[in-house]
Amino acid sequence: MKNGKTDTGKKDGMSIVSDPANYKKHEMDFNEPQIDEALKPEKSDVSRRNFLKLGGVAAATATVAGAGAAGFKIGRSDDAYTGYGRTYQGGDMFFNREPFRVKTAAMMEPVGKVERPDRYDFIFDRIGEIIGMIQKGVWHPGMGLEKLPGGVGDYYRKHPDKYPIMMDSLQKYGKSREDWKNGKHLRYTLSAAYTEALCQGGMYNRHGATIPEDPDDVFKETGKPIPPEEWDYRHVKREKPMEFKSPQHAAKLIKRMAHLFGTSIVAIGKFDPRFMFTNKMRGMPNGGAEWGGKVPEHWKSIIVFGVPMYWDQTYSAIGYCTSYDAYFRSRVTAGLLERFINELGYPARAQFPGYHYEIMMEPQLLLTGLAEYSRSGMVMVPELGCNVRPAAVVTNIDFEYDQPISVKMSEFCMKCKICAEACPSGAISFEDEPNTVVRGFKRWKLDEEKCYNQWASGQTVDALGCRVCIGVCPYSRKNTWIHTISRELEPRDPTGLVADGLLAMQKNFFRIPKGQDFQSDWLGGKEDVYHNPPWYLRAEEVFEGIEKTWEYHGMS
Amino acid sequence: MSDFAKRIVVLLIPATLALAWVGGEMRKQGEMGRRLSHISADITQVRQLDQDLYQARRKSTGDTLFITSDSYPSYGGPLTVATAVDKQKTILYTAILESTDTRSYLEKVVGFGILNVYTGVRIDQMPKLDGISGATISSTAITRGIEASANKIGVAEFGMPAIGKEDAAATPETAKLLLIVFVFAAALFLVYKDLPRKKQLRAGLLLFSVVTMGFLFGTLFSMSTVVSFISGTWLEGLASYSAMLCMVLAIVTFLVTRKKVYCTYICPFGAVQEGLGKITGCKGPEKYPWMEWISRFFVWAILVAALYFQTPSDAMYEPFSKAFNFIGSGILYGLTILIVIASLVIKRPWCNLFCPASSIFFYLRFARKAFAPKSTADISNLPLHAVFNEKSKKEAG
Amino acid sequence: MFPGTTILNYLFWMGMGMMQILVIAGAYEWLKHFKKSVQWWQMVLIYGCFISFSLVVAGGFTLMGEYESQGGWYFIGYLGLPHVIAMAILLKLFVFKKAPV
Repeated sequence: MKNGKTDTGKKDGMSIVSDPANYKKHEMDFNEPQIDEALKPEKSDVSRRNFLKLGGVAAATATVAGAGAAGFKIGRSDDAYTGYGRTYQGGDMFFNREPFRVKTAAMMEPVGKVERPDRYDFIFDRIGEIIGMIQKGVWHPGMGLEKLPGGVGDYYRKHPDKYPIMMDSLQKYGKSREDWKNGKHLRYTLSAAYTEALCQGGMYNRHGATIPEDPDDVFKETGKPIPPEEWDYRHVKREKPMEFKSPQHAAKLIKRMAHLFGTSIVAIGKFDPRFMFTNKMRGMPNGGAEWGGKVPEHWKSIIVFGVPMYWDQTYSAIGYCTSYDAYFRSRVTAGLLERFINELGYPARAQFPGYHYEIMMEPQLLLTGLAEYSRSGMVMVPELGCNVRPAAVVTNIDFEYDQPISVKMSEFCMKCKICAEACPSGAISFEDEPNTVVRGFKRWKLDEEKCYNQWASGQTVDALGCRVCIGVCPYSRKNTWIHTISRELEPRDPTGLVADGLLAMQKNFFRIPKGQDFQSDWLGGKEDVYHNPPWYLRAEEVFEGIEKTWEYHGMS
Repeated sequence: MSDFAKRIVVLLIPATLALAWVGGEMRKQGEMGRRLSHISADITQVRQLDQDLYQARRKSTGDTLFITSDSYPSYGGPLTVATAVDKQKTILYTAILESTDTRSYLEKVVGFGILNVYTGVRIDQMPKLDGISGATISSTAITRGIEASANKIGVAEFGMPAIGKEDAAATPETAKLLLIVFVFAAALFLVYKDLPRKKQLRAGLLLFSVVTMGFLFGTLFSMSTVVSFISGTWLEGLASYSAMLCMVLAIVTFLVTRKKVYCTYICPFGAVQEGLGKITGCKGPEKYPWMEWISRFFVWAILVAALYFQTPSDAMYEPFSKAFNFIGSGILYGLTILIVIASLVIKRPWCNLFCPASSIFFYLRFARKAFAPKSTADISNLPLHAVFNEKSKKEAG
Repeated sequence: MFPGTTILNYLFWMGMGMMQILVIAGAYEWLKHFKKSVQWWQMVLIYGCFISFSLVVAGGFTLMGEYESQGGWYFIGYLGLPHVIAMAILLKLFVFKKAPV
């Protein structure tokens, strides 16, 4: 309100009347607050209201953005790579070294003449030489240091204070090995078996194949047939096998060991001779072509396990993927487990890829509940989809056996047929139901001639493998929450609507190349891929001299 | 614009389309040989032996190949497949040469691996594909086309008996045609009969149309139908005439009633937009003449291109099938999403801004006015209350 | 989610949770701005639609993280759109009430 003054400073009538100074205060008068003052909210109210409004909108936007960002990071995280995880992604190197870089490492500043080490500075070469001399009868400790020949003798004469310690070590070594032989350290049975499995079964086995040892290689070297009754017991040193407290104890221990030896999935079942090949036995002449149908008596239980192939490469079939990462790792598990079981005193025989089998692997996975049967002729595991390469160890331990499962995968196969559509050679059946009878069972029969036809013509270095069906299968997915929801929800839904919905999304949201596109260019294909290959397999991005004459049409 | 000029313009439009079609026909000749060698990089030295029978050589092995093509009615028109057979009667390659179906629809079907089923098969041991569900019009066209072309080679080169051509696969075709007729009849009924609760009846008819013509049967007509109609490919046989019937009836009802009956009472896409707009109660967009003219020019250009290149399915830029059947490219997908969201903000955005049907109806109206007597044309276009105002305006001077 | 740390993950989700309080408080504030009000169960539905939409966005981006980018975008489009429409319906029914559709 004005002070009763106009712009010119003159007081006019109106301003005189309205000047509060000219009012006579009446008793009834009271200071009515200005109307706008009453309605004007508190300053703090306004800012809190605005804060909530703006903040609410900002928070809602940030929620959606955060959901998107979190989703993306989860999709790309190391943990999604079932069977591989952080290690293979390089995620174990999580410490940022850059702030701590220095020019010279601690203790690496020379303080005297820098000399190269000599052979005899390596204690194990000294031990080896001494023990060799003792064994050959050239020297023994009673002859004394002066008579110790060779370079090792010179070494200990140069460092005479070390000599008595070495002699003492050798004495103690002898005694402790005697104790072990006499069974004094039963309490360490398992850790010893574990060590021996890795050392003797993994690192230092003596025959052809690196791991596991294969009876065929020994037969080739020696020309002597080795039946399973001999081979399976070859590393058993105990007179009596260790007795398990119960079949449950046995199963629990062996499964834990299998994981420690590097497998992703493991189950144990009764050995089923219906799925053993006739006329096939490694270590016998001609691979056992005359073996007939004999089933070795000690083949009572079978431990089946498997690992996936590396995910990003499998999605880039054909030219960018391989079976050998999974083969190698499942072979490692097979070899180590075989040796471990031998160490406990039981027979063990590894069945392993690429072709070292007397049995069909898949049915054993079905019987033990690891997997279900699928359209493509391979087994499907809930955790890994079709992306599983199995191996096994046959033994005679009494285990508690695992039972089969039903997660309605085969029912999904009836509707899905994505693998059949993507197969470059048309080897996978399009029939709705598995109607072909194969050796007494109903199957979707894979035409292995057509399948190999693609292998032979395909763009792999050894003309082996295609693996398109594995990559495009909707079940072969990494481990993220969206796939977990599908995996848990779909088998529990009695109406099949979840499966229909998932299938509709899979077929319409994703671009899967048609079969012919995967083929080599000289056959009319485009060498297409489902996912684009990862950067570390794109030779043209790393090396000189490779001209990129192709395009990547896959998802990335 | 004078009347004479208007009539010239009206006649120019179909003239340009006819020219485009003729050019397209001329382009097609002599392409066959080139097309056949594209079936595989391994095929070379294609030469014609007879009508539809060619001989070629395999680059890799030097073997002789026989190639034929055959057509079979498919969704939007005939679908042409080619089969290459070697001297041992084995099918080496199959390919689709020509099709009036949309590329992505075909990819869905051809990704079906149907073509691969025949590779390596002997033509006297053709497989039976009865155990497969989900066979569609297109996949049936492909299998029948391959069977027919393989048989052609068998008859011509290997003395095999000829098999009779089977009838086109039946889908619920009669049901679709009857449905379309019923819907148009109901719409006309609503237009002419003064009924109570007309708004609710119209809403009901639109909902019915969305469910049946939209999702269930997908019988909307689109630009590809228009192109197919004009270029006459339907004369060689269509597997499904429903889209064509829909288009014809839409034009006929427009000419008869002078109202866009199809748009207002039937079109499922328009119904979806209107329904969404009802949620928010939004208004229609402001239309400027330049926007309408750009849209009309675009429609004309697309027709010309599609007729010239003889690819009716490429003319289809409407997002109908993406919305209702998941078929269409990524761009149409983005467009569909934008239109659905825009429908919440503007009333009937596609109808008002982009739909080619408006342009076509505009052309028909323009043509009629150009050729019809003047006075009655003007007045009969107006709604009743405007007619009276017009008259009274004239009386008032 | 955060390579090299084990706790940032938990802190992130705690932060996301705390933000939801701001979202809902802000929503009520906006209602006051438009001089509207809703019942508690109506707010539950509206917020539920928002969270469901966020899940769709998260799912689509998870697919993109798995190098399935096309799948991700289609996922968001086809599943997100019904959420937009549902939200419009809910707002019209509960907030900007006029005649029912």
